[in-house]
Amino acid sequence: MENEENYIEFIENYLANKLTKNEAQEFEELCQNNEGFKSLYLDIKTILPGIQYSTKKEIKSSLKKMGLEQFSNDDIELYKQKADQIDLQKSFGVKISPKEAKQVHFIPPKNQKTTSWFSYKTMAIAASIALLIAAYLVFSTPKSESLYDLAYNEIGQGPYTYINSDDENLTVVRGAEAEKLESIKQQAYNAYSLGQYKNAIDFFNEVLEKDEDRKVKFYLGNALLANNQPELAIPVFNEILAKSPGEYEPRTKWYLGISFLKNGELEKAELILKDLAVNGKDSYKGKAEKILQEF
Amino acid sequence: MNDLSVLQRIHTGDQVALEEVYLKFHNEFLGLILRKFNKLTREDAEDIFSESMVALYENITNGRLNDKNLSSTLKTYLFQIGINKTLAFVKKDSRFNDIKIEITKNSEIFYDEDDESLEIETENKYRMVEACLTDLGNPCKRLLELHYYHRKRMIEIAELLNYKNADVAKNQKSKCMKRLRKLFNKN
Repeated sequence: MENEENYIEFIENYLANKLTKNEAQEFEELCQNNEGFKSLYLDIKTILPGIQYSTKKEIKSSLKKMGLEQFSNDDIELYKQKADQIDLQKSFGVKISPKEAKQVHFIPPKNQKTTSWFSYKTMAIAASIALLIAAYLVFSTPKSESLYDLAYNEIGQGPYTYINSDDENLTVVRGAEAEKLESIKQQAYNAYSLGQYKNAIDFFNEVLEKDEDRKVKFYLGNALLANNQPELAIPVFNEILAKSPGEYEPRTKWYLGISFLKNGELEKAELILKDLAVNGKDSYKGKAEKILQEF
Repeated sequence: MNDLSVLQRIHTGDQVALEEVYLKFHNEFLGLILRKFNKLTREDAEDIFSESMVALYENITNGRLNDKNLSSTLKTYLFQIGINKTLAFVKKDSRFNDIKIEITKNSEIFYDEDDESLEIETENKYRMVEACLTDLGNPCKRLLELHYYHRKRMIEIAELLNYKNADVAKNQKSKCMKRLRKLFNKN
């Protein structure tokens, strides 16, 4: 490709968020109109973090090797004893205790008789307060919001990353109509990978009107979720699961769970995530297990 | 070993300084976490410590930590990262389901997330890049690592790899990148 060298630097700056507004616009136009540039961009987008990944791994393993070679277990044993003098909470703000402590023990009042004068009226008031608290918990679901945040932003690290997988390169396009559809699809994925979720949603919907594409549907769900419309993402994910989702099953369940959390539907989220933790296969199984611990 | 001079040495890319820090605190840190989290194995502890060290290194090379904002000792800073990494490790591991961890004071140290939480698909792509880099061999491999991971400027790279000047290094970088991309697309 011509200009490849200059383009690489342009893409690097784009990925590092160093472009001015005008340059960023130029970048997006190039992405949409220049196939060679777009494929260069998609390659570089993987190659740069790939170089970092590989270098980091190499340093880590050489340090680890050095540690294992230089020190015996006895060398460390000495420091294990010294560690008893260190208070993790004081030094690092971390408190460790056995799990049993987590259970809340209800201690019944010692003198039952003295409380027996409790009138039904007081009980009724107490009951309605409890109801109010329950209602507050159901409707405001702050827990659901924090779990969503944990699942989506920390465990999942934000919106699903668009990966230009090989199957697309194999797509054989026949006829003008199909070609047009393919081009809308590409525009949709471009918009999605650039974080322009509103545009992406429109494009995805346009494609789906003519073609029931599972992958497109999955990305539509994710675009809706990223665009803060979990209520619309939920039926899309459900539809995928209803129609032989195949390899998309675990990730669809994961993002459906997150959509439920975002939408404040804690119980439904728990149900689908439990299913994923039990039946899932790939990395999503682990993610589900992780978030369920926080429920 | 003076903290500030070590910071500067690491910042300029002195690998020996990095190894010195590693060896100096290795036993103390491993002793600490092996004692406090007694189900950790030596292997786990080595992983955690080397990862913490890399996080420290990255914070120095990307400028997040410098001689002006190091408010504690380098040891405290490294150990705080190490404890955070240990907690992240323990949280994911079912062997530790029987302990409860409370964070009573939030650590103010930030570092880039690990590659461990990567999607399998993404990680496979990165592994492919890793294999291509090996095929590419040196000096290209080293040059790209210096530029993209260690954040070295072209002039520094020229010096390290014996190129005549920064322009030659830059030119070389473009060629290496082109070759790497070719290898990447072959796979």
